[in-house]
Amino acid sequence: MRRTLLVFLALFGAGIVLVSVMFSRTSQERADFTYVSGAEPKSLDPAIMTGQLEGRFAEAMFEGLTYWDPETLDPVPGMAERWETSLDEKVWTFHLRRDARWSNGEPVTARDFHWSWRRALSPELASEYSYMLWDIVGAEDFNKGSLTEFDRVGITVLDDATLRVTLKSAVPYFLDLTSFYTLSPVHRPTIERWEADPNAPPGAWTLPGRVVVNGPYLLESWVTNDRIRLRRNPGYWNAGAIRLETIDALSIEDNTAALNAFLTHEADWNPANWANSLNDEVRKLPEFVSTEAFISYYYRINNTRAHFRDRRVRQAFSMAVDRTELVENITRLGEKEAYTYVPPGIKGYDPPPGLRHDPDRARKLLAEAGFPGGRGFPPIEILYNTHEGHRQIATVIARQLSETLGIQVHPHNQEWQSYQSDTQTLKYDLARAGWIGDYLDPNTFLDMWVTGGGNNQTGYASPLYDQLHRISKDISSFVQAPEESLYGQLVEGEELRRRVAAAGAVPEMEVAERLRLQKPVRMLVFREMEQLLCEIDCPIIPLYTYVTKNLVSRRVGGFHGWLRGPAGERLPNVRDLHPLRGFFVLPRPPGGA
Amino acid sequence: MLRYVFGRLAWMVPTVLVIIVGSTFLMRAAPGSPFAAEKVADDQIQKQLAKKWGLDKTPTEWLWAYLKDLARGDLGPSFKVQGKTVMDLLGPAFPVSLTLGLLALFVALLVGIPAGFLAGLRQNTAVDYGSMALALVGISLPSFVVGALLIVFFVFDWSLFPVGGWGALSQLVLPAITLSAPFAAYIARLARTGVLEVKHEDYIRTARAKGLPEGEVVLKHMIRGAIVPVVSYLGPAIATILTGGFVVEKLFRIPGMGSYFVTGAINRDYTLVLGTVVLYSTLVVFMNLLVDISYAVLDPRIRLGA
Repeated sequence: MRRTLLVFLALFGAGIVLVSVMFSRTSQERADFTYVSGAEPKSLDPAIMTGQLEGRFAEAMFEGLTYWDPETLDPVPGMAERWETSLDEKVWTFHLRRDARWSNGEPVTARDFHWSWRRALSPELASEYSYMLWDIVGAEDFNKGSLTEFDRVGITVLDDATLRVTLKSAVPYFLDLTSFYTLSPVHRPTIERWEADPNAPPGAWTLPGRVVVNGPYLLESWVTNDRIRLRRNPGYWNAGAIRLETIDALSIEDNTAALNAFLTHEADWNPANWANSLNDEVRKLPEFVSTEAFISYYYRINNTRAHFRDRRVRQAFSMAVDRTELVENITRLGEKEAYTYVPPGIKGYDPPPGLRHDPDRARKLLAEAGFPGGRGFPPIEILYNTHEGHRQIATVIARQLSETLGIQVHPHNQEWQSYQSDTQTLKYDLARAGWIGDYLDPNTFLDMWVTGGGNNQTGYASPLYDQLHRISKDISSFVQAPEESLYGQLVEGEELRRRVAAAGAVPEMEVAERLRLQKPVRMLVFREMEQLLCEIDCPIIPLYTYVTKNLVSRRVGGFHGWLRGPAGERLPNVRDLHPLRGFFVLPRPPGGA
Repeated sequence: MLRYVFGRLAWMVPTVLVIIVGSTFLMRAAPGSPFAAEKVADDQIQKQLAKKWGLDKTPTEWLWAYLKDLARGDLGPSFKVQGKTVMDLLGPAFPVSLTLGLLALFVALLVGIPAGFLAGLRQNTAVDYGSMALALVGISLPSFVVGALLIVFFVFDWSLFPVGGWGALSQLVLPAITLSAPFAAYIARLARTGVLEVKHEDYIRTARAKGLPEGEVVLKHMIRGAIVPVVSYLGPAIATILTGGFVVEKLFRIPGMGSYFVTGAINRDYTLVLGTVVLYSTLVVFMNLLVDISYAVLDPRIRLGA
């Protein structure tokens, strides 16, 4: 008996010792600003990362040629203090600021960009976002291994402070790309040192105490499953504008724990980490901020299945879905019904109307395709990844389709990885999907639907769509030598012909004016692509546009749910980008707590 | 005795090895990969990615390379927290789970054993029914319900404890109680059964016949026999409580091992999955050995190595 007691006491003693050891580390003081980051970052290497939560760290630690001003999200001078472009906007010359320093005191030079972009493009690194650089001459070929001499890629160091970039064609959103984390410079000596260590895992150079940065914040600590702490970088060229000394990013995967952290004032900002079922409660909180988002929710149709080959069937499906019921009864946070795929919010882009809810026409089209009243149509499944919200939507759409078209439809859920695998290998009938735009241009939503594109995943293959995509990539050469055969195949061919003629009529000298006239031509080409996608060929069924969801404490400023537009107007922050560099703590009201 | 212990320890190696091989093939047979993403990278990039991380090898080749690293004590890099090794992830998490687990186990024993003994000694009385009803509740209520209820009352209503995190003793109270609840309940039931079994044994009657006071009968003779079922449960319980606190750790944001078991598998973080498998299987095998040894200590009828 005494021995049993001893065992228990020993167990307890060991526990006590452990507890005291665990807590003997001086517990950290609270950071100036704390937010819920979500899952553990998959990488802190800006050339490797692909997610939004990782992007926040990258934008805090690294600064590209430009960065997004938190109030407007316009690209503003970062490492480059100014730049000029050639008249055709293909050649960009960036002049780097002389006072830019790495956190170890070394200057940031054009060579750093040259080396970092080359690294991001090197096939061995296998960066998943390397395509962000593919607009540069030769970059795609180098990335895919068909070009081995990097000298032939359009990235040239003129001197330490001057970088020249040559693009394949004018890219209206190029400064958004230079603000994007994939194009950040990284510190060559640090990376080379850690890559030479055979025992160091990939990315070992990104850990605290090792990583050398050039952005507004230093990486102070990274405790997995707990938090990442950032500290103001005193050597940052614009350190005076950074108002928070420390930032804590809480790693919380559980939605309930994340919401609790905000409700108990432990976190000042919670970007949408809570259970959807609590939306009704959360939206009542005064700290809730929501605007429309640059994200589409849609269904893929498996175009390779025999019964979906006829586009009239696909049109019928799109018209049989009542989106209003989805946004009013299920999502309920002010999401907008979508009849087209590209979310609203792009200046100068006017989307086509799309196919509205029309049960009678849907039935008629299905009958014309050989399935009157749904007779002869095999039972189909809606594939979705396991998630309460997706389940509710799939259930409603299954009911709408069977009531309207007389087809048997069953929702079918799968765990995330299996769902992705089945979608990519076309083992589905209808599959739920979402797409987040990378930059404010229709291209980020439309280039994925080209024949054989990795993100197409519907089997959709349209020569016309591919041709339009090629034209959109190089609009100036199209305007110089338009393909006459094209106009007849388009919905708004005459309008396009008129615009092309106008843009081509400008005399050779007025290049800027010509570019100005070419931009609407490009948008019109995108409009035609979207018409094919959402009205004619219908390889997908657009459903609704997401909204952004944030909980922001009243004690912090610098969060911009609405951006300041060029004329001072309020624009929704559709990309839901809130650079950490913009946050600050509001002064306390006198006498207030 | 010593020979027995070494024999058992030697068997640990093939046991864990079989578990690793089985897990590897199951894991690689599951659809998906660590790099499956909603935005699919170009084919060329995907090939390079597979090559960079050794996933272009067949599962057998991959396993062989993994085992060679394992023999050197290297659990490999994590696929999904790049820059850290599996050791970097599990190393700091293990003592956290251990602390919480031991504390919870201690609470469970402190509550469960007396409750079970009282219930067993006062069989079919209000004490018995009361504690067994409570135990039933403790076993049936999942920890996310218990934890959520504790949070509602002790955090939001009465503001007595912080809602979670790690770094202060006050942050340990609620998760330890939540984690201990089902174990306390189970231990109480086992202890009660143990008491009922030995209560009418001859040696207890002998003790009473010797004229020992009742308290001494219970403490000296009855506990020793009655505690055996509890002890045999402790082995797997310790392993479970150290690693199976997934729900509690998530709910209270404890940076322990629990989440790696689940997120590792969901993310197909192959090396992390195997790391947890190695750790857990070693722990279970080892705990079972400890339990078997403690039988010999507790129960005079058992002799090891015979």
